[in-house]
Amino acid sequence: MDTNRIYKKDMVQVFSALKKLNISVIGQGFDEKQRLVFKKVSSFQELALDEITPLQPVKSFLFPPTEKVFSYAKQDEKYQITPETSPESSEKKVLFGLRPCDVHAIEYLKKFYDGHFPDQPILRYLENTIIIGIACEHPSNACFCTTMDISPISSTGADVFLTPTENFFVIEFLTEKGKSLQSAFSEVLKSSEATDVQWKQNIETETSKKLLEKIEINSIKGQINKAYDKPLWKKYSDVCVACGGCTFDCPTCTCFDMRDVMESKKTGYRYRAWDSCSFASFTLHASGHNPRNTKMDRLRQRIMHKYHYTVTNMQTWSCTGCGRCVRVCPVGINTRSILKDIKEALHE
Amino acid sequence: MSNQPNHYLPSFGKILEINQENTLIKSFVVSAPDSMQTAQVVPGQFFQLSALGYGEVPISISEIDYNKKTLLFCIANTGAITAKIHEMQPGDEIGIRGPYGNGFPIAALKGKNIVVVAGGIGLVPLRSIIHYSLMNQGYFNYMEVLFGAKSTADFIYREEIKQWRLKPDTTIKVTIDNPEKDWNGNVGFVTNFLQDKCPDHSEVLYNIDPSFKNTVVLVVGPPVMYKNVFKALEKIEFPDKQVFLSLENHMKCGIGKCGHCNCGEKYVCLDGPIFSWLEMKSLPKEY
Repeated sequence: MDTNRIYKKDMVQVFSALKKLNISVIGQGFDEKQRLVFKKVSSFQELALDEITPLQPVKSFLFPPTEKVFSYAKQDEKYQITPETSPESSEKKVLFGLRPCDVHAIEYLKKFYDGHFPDQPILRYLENTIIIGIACEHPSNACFCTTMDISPISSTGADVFLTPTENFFVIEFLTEKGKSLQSAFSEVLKSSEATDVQWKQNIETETSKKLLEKIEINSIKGQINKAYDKPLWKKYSDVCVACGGCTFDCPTCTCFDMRDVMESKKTGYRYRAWDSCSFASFTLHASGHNPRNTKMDRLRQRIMHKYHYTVTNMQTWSCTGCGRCVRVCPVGINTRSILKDIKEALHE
Repeated sequence: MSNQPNHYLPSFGKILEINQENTLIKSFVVSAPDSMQTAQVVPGQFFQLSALGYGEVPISISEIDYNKKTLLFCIANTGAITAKIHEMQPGDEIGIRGPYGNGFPIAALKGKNIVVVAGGIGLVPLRSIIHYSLMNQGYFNYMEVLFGAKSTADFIYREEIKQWRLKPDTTIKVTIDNPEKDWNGNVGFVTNFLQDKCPDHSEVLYNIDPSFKNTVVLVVGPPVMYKNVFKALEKIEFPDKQVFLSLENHMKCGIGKCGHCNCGEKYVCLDGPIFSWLEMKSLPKEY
């Protein structure tokens, strides 16, 4: 693998080169209210790479919380439909400094939104996105990526991968898309030294110490549906307030609603908006019947979907162990504890 | 990727004819959009119909006229979007996407005795298979329609049912939940037809082919109804591979992305809406 060094002080040049290439950069930093978020940044200094991951997932930049699908206008009793293509979707962008968990999440989104009926609007975003991953040195106290088989130094899914050290990054250009960025870095790339391979290993060792203990769940992979009737669900659903926070902040939650807005007698638009399986209305039938009528049904659905159904359908957990659901939950429901309970229940 | 079609954009059909079926239900004959390959539409599939400015709803296909390229939809007025569709008039344009879903396994049903068990508005998606039988005389060996409605006021397709009765190799049995003045027909749930002690029990299940070998049951109705049908069929040890259900579920996209219709490992819009009873057994118990 070709690796190079890029010194942090030289990142100014990289950012201006990206600007010249009309590539915008999105990364984690603080907004005007001092909230840690993913946002468009114009300089390396604006990034807050030494922080934990923002609570709000980066998927908002690929699958916006609300987005117009099309506009319509009625003329002479006939409808004209105009697909809404947001300029952001065709804008070339770099997601700079994504942790391995979030890179895996985007891999999942790519796989999910493709398929028999590709989701063209979302795929357009993904097509124009280049991912610069970074080895994770700063997990939150809720992180459990290793439980989900993701290493804090995994570069899988990244186009370019950075390993941070105090003064420089070890940089790897991994894909064709990643190599397309090489020109932006070329002037400041330095050759790496033989010892540079150590940095990644060091991070893995150090970060693993900070992470919550890995739960060995591969032994129950493909078996989790057998916990369907176990009593463990009630313990969690009794306190769940069905706010949907765990789904909205989840980087792999893909569900959405579609609704119409009438702007005038003859014009309007259809939009889609993130939706959540935690809400009773999510599955409510027109007849009034609701197959998942209780909070327990819905909490169990979220867990089953992430840890069982996608394992069967897409051969992967749809969880990256990023810990956002744990961090956001207002009543302290811990997904990792649920997994522990499932494992215990299955081994009883 | 992005040069692929955008599946969320509706095409438009024109409403040609509207019939009031009962106080709640209207049927709409719609000319298929030019872009639609009607020849590929299979009974049991569904479409996403739009009342622009109000929204989109999944509606089963009731009839496909392959020659005239028209589609028949029967729609209950149950919410803001279907209320708006009910206000539409012949000549109006209606947004349409589809067809979606798997449809009935037509090829596997050839030469079989078909027992259609319909609860109320469940007759709507099943009409597509009944119509298919009428259009393809001899395709099925025999057809029996068991239709249960809450009351006579809930009947739909009154005229069509009269016509179906006149067809050879076709039997229609109708029941209402409670006795009514001027009603001399069957009273009780539609599942009664599946019990041998019912005086008007199913011809196919008890007389024509008591071995069940060549018989297939197609069921559509509310959950309480189809669960009772399964119970009744279990009692007579009817094989689960020979029973098919059209599973209704909340849907938004129709193409397996929005997540609303997900049940277990299946998406009703992609893997269904037609599931065998055997497949139903592998779905989570909520369904």
